[in-house]
Amino acid sequence: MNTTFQQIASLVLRCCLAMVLSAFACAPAFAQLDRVYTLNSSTAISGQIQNVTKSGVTIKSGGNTQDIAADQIKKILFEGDPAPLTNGREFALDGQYDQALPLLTSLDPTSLKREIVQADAIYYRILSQGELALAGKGDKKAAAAGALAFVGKFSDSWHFYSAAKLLGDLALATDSYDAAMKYYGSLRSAPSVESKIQSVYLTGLALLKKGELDAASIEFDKVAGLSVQSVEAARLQKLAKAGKAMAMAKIGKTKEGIELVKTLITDLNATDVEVAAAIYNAQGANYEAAGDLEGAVMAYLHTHLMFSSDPRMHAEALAKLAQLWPQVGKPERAAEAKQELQQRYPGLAG
Amino acid sequence: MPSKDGALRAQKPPQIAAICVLYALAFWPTANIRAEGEPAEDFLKRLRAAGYFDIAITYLDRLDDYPGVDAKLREAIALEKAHTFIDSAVVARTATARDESFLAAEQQLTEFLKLPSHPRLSEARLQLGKLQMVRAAQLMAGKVDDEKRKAARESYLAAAKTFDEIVNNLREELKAMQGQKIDAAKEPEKAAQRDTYRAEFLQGQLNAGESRRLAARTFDDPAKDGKNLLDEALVSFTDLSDKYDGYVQGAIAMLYRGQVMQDLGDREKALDSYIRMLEQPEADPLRDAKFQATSGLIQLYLTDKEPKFDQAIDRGQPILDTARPDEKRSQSVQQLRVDLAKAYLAKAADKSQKPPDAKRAQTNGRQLLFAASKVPGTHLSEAETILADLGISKEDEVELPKAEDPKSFAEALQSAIQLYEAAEALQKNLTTIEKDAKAIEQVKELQKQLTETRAIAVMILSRGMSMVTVETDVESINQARQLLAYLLFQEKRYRESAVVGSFLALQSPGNDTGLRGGLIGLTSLQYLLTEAGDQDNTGLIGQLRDLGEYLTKTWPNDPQAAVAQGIMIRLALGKDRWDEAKQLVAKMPSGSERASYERLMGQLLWNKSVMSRQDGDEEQAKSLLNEAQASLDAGLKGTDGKLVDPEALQAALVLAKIYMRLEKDKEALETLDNSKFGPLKLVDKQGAPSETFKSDLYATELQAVVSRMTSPEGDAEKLLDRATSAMENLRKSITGDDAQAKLVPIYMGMARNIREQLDSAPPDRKTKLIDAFRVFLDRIAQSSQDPDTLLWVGQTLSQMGESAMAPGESVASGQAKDLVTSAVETFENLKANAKDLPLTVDYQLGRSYRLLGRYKDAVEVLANILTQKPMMLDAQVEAATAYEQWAGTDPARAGLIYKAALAGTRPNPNHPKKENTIWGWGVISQRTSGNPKFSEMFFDARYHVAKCRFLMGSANKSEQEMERAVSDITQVAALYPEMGGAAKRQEFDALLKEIQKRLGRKPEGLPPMK
Repeated sequence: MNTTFQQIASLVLRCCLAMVLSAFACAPAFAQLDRVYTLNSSTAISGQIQNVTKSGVTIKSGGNTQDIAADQIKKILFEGDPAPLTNGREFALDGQYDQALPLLTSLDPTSLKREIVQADAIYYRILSQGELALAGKGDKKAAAAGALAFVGKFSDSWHFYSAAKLLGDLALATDSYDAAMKYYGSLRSAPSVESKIQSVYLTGLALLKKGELDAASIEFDKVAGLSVQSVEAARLQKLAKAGKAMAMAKIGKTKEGIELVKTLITDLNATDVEVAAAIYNAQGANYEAAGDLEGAVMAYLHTHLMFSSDPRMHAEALAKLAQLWPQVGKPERAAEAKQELQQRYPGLAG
Repeated sequence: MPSKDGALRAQKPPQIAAICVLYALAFWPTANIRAEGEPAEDFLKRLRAAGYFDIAITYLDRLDDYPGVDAKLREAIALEKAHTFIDSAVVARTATARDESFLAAEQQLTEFLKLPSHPRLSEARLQLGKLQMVRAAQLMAGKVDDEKRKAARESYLAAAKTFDEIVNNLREELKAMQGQKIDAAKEPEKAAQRDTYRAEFLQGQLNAGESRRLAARTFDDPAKDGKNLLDEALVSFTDLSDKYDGYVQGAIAMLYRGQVMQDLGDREKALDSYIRMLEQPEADPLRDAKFQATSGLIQLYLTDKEPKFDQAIDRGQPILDTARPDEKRSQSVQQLRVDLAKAYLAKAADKSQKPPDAKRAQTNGRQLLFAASKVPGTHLSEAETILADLGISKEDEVELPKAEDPKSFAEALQSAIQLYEAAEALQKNLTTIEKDAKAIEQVKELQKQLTETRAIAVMILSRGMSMVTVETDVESINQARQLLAYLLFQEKRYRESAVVGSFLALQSPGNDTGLRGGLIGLTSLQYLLTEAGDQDNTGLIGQLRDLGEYLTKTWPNDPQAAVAQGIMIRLALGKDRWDEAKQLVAKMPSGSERASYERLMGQLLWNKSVMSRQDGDEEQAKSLLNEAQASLDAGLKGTDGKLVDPEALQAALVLAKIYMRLEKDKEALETLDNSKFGPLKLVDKQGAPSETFKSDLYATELQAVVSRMTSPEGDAEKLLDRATSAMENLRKSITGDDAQAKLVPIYMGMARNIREQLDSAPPDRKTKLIDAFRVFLDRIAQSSQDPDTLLWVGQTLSQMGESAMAPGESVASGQAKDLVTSAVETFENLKANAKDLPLTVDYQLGRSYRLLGRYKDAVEVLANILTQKPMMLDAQVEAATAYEQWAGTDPARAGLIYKAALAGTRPNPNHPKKENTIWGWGVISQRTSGNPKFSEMFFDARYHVAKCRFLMGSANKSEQEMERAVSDITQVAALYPEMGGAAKRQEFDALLKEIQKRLGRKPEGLPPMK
């Protein structure tokens, strides 16, 4: 027993010391400590943010100053971030928008002294609102109004292009195809090549939804035909090819569509949920159009059972399964799919 | 066949770790994880988990439609179908559906086993054997007639045959592998295959014996009619337990030996085997077998002529008490509960027992039966029969509380301690398993168990605390409080743990229990404070301070209590209450704890000093610097001689930087080299406290060494070598694909630091420093082809040149000119010999051209940058400055050039509105307006707008333009009365006076600020 309690005491002491010392063990000697986390490093760059533009931020770290491109930034933690912002930001970055939103809404941005922090708080709020709305859990128009106000007020924010994409997504979700193309088009002004490629891909997607299938195919082909250098660009190429396969299903070229999907599956990275779900949904569309309902069910089940963390793709797969299950003699499973669709994505259940 | 010479076999008793590894291997999924192609295995698992068995079968039928599926999986379609049918059978709602699924599974396995070779053949055979055992067990469940017994026996014997085949096949495979002498390091896949085969071989032999034992049990009298089968089983188990007791299967075979002996009626040998099973080392894979062995022991004790119920209880209860939450629903634990219940009931029925003891025994027995009857399984009918014999039906059973009510405080404390120890063991397992990225489900399960165990412990302890009486021992009560506080703390219920811990501290002043309680309370309050973030936390801070003061007063000489003092210091520092923090540190007893706070304070004072310098308050900066130096010096000298934490290395680096500021380069180097805390000595051993630490360290070393080169006592050649080596270390300290991108800003920062060092040096020392750096830079330039290094050399030369320029001088001359010229040569060489250089090189070259008065070259280079990157503000400022200075040297075209400096030039043909590539001061001021981050640049730009307008007016002899320059200044004064600070305001004022003079007015300057 004594040993047990000595262990407890020793542990508690370690806890205490760790907490006390952690305050300065990691604290470099800076006047202001902002921390920029980039996508390709697990450690933060600590220092003073000196400049912010649409393209990125400039941080002074010790005697050094460096520019970090917006599309390389994972997140920025600012000195003195209030708890709702810190937690809300983390939830939003983790895709837990329903957890993030109440925290971020509880925050009065005008109480934040620095403009960059205000912009950050408002961005994660509109992002959470927008993503929830896109997942059928919120008012899309209200979310779009919030995002529009953000880009108007913080046109120099490093979140600018992400907010523009969100606006495009929301416009697309409300069938405002021309508006979507306008917002997606603005990504072409972003400095990174990947953003420009994304702009073309998303424009293709908007055209696809609008029913302009040939025009959509042209945009997808533009992306697919590029000689890309980065992982992100290669990823966009896969999405564009999945989009092209979807267009083929709609045009009726299912044989070619199925073959295209096969080439994508050969090179599948199962950890990239959005791409994988896009590929299998395209496969489902082609099988369905070709009259192979069993194959279509299996394709959509891939998205439903393995790649369900992308809400829009998952909702699309669930809606399709709800239609297809009765046709393959399983009406009870259709009811399950409908129920899940209504529960998880109430605004998308139709 | 496994070798007897293996390391695992070499020691007795068996090595637990080895047991666990092999056990895991026996059940390790054989499927590979594929990074590309159709994720067929995963999809199949998901389909089965979702209950879409029909789709899974269809999917397997059309697997050829999907690209990228592993050939081994395609060959194993029948085996996968068998798995699917088995899963389907498990959840089947009717017996017919279940039988059909099992039958289909058996057919698929038989089909698969026709393959001449496949790495999963033995897995299939094991599966088939287990399936045959499951079907036999089904036949033996419920009411059993002779026909069912016969069918079950046949199924068990078929299973035994299947397992025999596995053993025979694998024996051959393993023999062949033994001949190949596989080197695990060179052929890991073969070695893994061998380990799998070995585990399957042992499992097969164990199952073969078990099938025969169970086949024997299908007879009414196994000892008589099933003797041959039992004898055969015994041979298998004896072989396993004698030869392979270093393996899980060998160890478990001892249990089965005991069970066979028990079936054969050989009591003594059975007893011996069970006891030997219980003597096996503690290892998770053996826990279930130990529960079964205990059951066997109890059964033997109770079948003695005079039932030994006390011995049975003494053996059984302690082992049952160790059952973990997940084990409490296992079949073996239910059987143990039933057997132990029988022992208690036998005791209750014993006439010689005192009535209270008999009653307690009956209660215990009944509770065990209740618990067992809650879980389905083969024990159920026996448990319900005994309960019925006691006159209790299942309906009478009261719902058990989540945490069983303790009968007394002492029992609660004992239970809570057991649960706490179980939780600690779980935590240990969790920590180990968490390292395995694939074990997500296991981790989740363990976390759940851990939380449940702690929650039950808290509940029991809380209930126990309400049973305290005046006779309860005070020490036990305090132990319970301490445990409760700690469990609450672990549960992250910080408010409650703070209350219990603080109460304990107040109740037990001066003793260890009180102190530990206080520390738990203190830590809990800290966590609450962290959780509260920026919310109003005055109350929490107050509580923390009160408790901290109480702990330090009550345990004044206890180093553990110093932690409380530390927290108060941190609070004071967090609120910038420096004097209070200093007093608190001074009150601390000497030792490593105090030293750590002195280091903390020293670093924070350094930060403060840097801020003061940035704010232009040199006097305060200097004073803070001295305080920081004293504090860090004391903090580092106070390290206790053991290896210091990485934090102390950071502190030492800051101290070295302070010495550099104080021009004590010798002390700076001594600090970096110190054997006790010097980061140069210890960084590789202790690890860097941050990612950028090493580069910062070597950059500081480099500066210190070069400074030493100015000292007459320094050995110049030796120091030069050391500087070169520091430079090399700096370069090596940055690794990774983006090393170049990281190095450039570091080099730039170093160059700026050197410039700052030069700027703050007295003139004679400045000249010496420049010479020292020059020697060093020449050596680097000669020896390095690395573009980043050469960029740094150029940058440093340029910065030194600028530092050597006289105040107000716009074109370098003398030593400054030499330096900047060298910089230009370095940049030009770099551009000629290296590709893909960053724009920084062009920027530095453009700036250096300007410093040499080569304005045309400067604007060409800068315009080139700005075509690519118009938003590069530094380059815009540089270009505007170049035009402005150029105009001053070319009176004939001054008006035109000032206009370019003011309003920009070179329209960009690619810009939709043909915006100027070079913005000029006007646009710079517009773009930086209203943004506090660019405030300094904005006021500077406005100043130059006015200045250029005035000079342009002078050159063009235009009073109107000069008037506009006046209004440029007065407008700024009206809108921003402080005009960017006192120094800038003074510049504006002086310029205005000059303009007023030129306009023939009284030079009144700016009106005083209101």
